[in-house]
Amino acid sequence: MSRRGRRRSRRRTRARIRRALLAGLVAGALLVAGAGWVGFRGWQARAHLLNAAGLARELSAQVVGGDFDRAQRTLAALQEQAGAARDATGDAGWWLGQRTPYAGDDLGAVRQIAVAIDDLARRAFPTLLRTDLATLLPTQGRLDVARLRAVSAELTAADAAVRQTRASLDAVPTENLVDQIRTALTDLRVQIDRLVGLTGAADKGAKVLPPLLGADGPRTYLLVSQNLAELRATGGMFGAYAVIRAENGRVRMEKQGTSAQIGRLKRPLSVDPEVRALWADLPGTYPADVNLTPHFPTAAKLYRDMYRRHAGGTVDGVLAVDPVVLSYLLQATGPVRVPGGTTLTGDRVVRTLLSDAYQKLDGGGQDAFFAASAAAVFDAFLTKNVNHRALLSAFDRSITERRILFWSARPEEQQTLGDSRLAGALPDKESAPSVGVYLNDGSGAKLGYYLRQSATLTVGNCVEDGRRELRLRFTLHSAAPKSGLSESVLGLGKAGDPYTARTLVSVYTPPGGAVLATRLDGQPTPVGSGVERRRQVVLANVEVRPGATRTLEVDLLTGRNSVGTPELRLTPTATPWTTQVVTATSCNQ
Amino acid sequence: MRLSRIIMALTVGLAVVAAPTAAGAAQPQPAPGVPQPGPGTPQPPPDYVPGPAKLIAEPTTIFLGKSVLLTGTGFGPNETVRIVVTVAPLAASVPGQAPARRSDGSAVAMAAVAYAPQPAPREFTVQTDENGRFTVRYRPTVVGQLTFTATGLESGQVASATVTVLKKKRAPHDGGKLPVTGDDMGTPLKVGGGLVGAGMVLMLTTFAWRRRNRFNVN
Repeated sequence: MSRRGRRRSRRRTRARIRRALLAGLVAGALLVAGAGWVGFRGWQARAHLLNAAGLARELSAQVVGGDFDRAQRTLAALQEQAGAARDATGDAGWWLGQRTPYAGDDLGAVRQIAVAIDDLARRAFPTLLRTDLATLLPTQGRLDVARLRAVSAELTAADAAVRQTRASLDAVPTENLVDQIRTALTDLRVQIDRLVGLTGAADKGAKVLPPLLGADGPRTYLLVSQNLAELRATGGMFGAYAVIRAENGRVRMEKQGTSAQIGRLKRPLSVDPEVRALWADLPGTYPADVNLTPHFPTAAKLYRDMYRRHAGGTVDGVLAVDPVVLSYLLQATGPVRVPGGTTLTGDRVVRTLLSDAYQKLDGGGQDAFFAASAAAVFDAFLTKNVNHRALLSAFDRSITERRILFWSARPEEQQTLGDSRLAGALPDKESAPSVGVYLNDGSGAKLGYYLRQSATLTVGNCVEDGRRELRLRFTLHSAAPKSGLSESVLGLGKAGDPYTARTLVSVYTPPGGAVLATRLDGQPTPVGSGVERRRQVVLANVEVRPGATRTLEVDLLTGRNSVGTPELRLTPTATPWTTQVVTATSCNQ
Repeated sequence: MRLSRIIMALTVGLAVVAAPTAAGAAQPQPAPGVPQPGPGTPQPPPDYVPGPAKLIAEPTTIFLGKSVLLTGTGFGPNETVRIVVTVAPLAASVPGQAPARRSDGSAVAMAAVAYAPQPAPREFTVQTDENGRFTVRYRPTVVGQLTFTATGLESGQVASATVTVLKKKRAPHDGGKLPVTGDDMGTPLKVGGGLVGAGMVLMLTTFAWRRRNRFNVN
């Protein structure tokens, strides 16, 4: 090859290299610029999402606090931030980025998170915020059923939106994601699951409420009051009842009566075999004993049948309340004067009804006083201008404490209530193991008012089959005086000494669990035993003298493969329980 | 929005009228007892106050191979008491899992049957003493939830107790020792640590040996 030829060839090679370098440089610059752009947009999206998360927390606090004006402004800001995050992750650069290896998954997940939050902010939150809680309260004894139905339609739409968001988030794969994004995604899923639970419940509740209040035809219910002075597993003995009628949102009382008037059934009702093994025929024989079982649906059904035998009418459901509920309501209404001089106040009504009445009045006087109190409180509810929010929180507290229980005779309505606290059902399967401590009076007296109870549940070792040891320490103290109580209070005095309170304590293991040992004041104690709703039950007799304290310790096993922090289920009493759950690390760690 | 809040409307609605009955909570209770037994009835019906258990099983949970002590009280003096034992499997009655049924509808208890040369009887009788009390020891031969139902043949008195029988394992409450869970890592750790230590000593020795050789060469 000539020298010229060589030079030309070298020049050509150099030009080629130069072109290649230039092309490479341009491609590299484009790639860096693209990555930089996606990174910048990602940083923007992150900032918007963080703002949105903060605003969502603020919004929830404002809704709970009832600050609706501020909540509206927060919602607007939240929508703006969520929209901006959605925009930041919606351009062509981001779209291309999602198709690159390695980073593609993460970018796709961030996009889905932004879309989910934007959807919730635009489609679900506004409805939830618009729902006026006052719609759910009656005015002048009547609830606006038509308005409630309108709210129900909106709630259904919100529920559908939340469910749709959850479905699209569930489709995002979490493997191969950067830790930070994976955590954010998992957290969001948990939050949305909670939201689905709430909107689902609200939707179902708003649907079931109108028929319950007689929108589709009149309904009658038995309203029973649990007398906490004589304890039963669900609270207290069903003392007085009233038949109430709901028609088109308007509720009124038809007649009143007492369990004493129903009296002993000559032909006992048939009782569930498990309950019968524990309590013989008592729950099917006496209205005072229907709730020896803590499973409210069983008690309510028996009481309804007893009422039918007694009065001939069939009711659509049973609602139970107790004097502590009344004390919470009186805090919302303010004091109520009873003709004859007594004034019922929120902080004294429990004592007035459960102690003073028995102590100061004779049988006839008690009847007259209770009737007058009832009329006075009823009157106050209708005429006083009651703060809706205070009333709602009084009811919320009562339901949380399992002091308001409801059972519907219609299976589909009962199913809607499910395992909510209002239903008072003892579940036969549960996500976290629960130990039940239920108290039934065995003295035939009104000493329940003087009892003070506490329970400590300590999580112990992991044992075979994924079971876990639990130790329950229950103490019962009597604050009763040593003398000076009236015959009405002392009643039958079944424990021998009339001032000694005999309490039959039923301890229920978690479903599939077992009771290993029972000790009273450190000594092994004989106990009755049985099974109810897959839980082993032991029945201990605890007798407490005035001023004394007894300690019952029970060693238990949970069911197989138990996970979650154990909890206590307790009989609601006149004086609140002192409780503690001492947890331990999971068996898998 | 909480279900409780929503359903509260019901309660609020009803409770407007509910309050009076709550006030009536303390209405006089059902006339305690003194029920008049009808002519010819063998026993007066019990009053409404529940009493302590009449059949006690000790302990309430055992491991297969151990026995349980049954104590009955409140029966007639010198009475024959029939005790029937029914067995429910431990894992059964999970919701949605219907028990096996015979053609007549009665449930079949499907319990794991352990090897036992003589299965424990499912029905037997005992005699009470003059105070209407009896004790009897029973050694179950199956795992499951055993319910003992004692019926006084003359008095008609019925009482039940339920015992959980678990698979034979180290019993958590036999001697107060709890079973150790998880693997014992002590021995493997000691052996491994020893081997690592020995390896290090050998390596250091090799280095020292080489260095000394090098000095020798120099």
